[in-house]
Amino acid sequence: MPAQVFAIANQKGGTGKTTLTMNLAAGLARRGRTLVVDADPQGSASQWARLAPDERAYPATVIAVAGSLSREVGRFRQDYQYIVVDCPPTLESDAVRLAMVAADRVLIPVLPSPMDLWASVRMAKAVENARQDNRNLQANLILNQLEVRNALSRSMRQALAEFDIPALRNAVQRRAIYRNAALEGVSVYDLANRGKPAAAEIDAIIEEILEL
Amino acid sequence: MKKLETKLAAGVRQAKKTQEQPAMAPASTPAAAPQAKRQSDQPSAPVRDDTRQNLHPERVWPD
Repeated sequence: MPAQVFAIANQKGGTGKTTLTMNLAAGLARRGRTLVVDADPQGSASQWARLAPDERAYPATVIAVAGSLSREVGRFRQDYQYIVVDCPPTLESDAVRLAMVAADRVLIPVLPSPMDLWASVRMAKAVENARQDNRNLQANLILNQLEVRNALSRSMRQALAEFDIPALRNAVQRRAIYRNAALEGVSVYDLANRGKPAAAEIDAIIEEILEL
Repeated sequence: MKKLETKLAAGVRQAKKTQEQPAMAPASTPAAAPQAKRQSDQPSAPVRDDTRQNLHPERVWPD
């Protein structure tokens, strides 16, 4: 069965694309063979995996792709169960469009801030354009770095309803453990009790997207 | 809380509207094009630093 391909994209930088990619991929790797395609020239996903300690390799294969993304994703579709593409933070290059053309579902992380929310409107348009070449493309917004006690964070749900793209029920909370995981080259699943709440929310997101 | 939600949602609607505007703008007419070219041919006026504006109003001199 060919791999399910998820593209993690938002043209705005700093929305947590790589963090989401690497933790989602680690969670997916517990369910099946998983590949991370690092399509961002900054190479953050590749660097993350390189930081992994020798005794505990990052659980998914990570490859960097600079050329034809759809060709590369197509090449690995039969070998993996899940492919997660970490996209660059721009819509000007072709990489994001190609990733969305190759993907089954695009996940758009949105931070609970007005500027990030409003900038995501451009992503909605990009998804619409990508559907001209991939009419089965599914898309979801995903609230990232949510602060449960913050009124602005709590108000985001209602605003997300203004988008034509549905938001996932589950969200990622703002937690220092995500940054620690990046620093150690591991996922939140590898951080024992410290990573448990974060791993639980990543699992909830995975369950949700696999059931959609 | 309700106010925040309304403001955020209004911002999304505004961003959508702004995004759609360039596509809806009429194409420039042939008559307008040469004028636009002439304007771009003009050297831009040198930007002079108005030192008085850099000072606190109380210290403006001479005035």
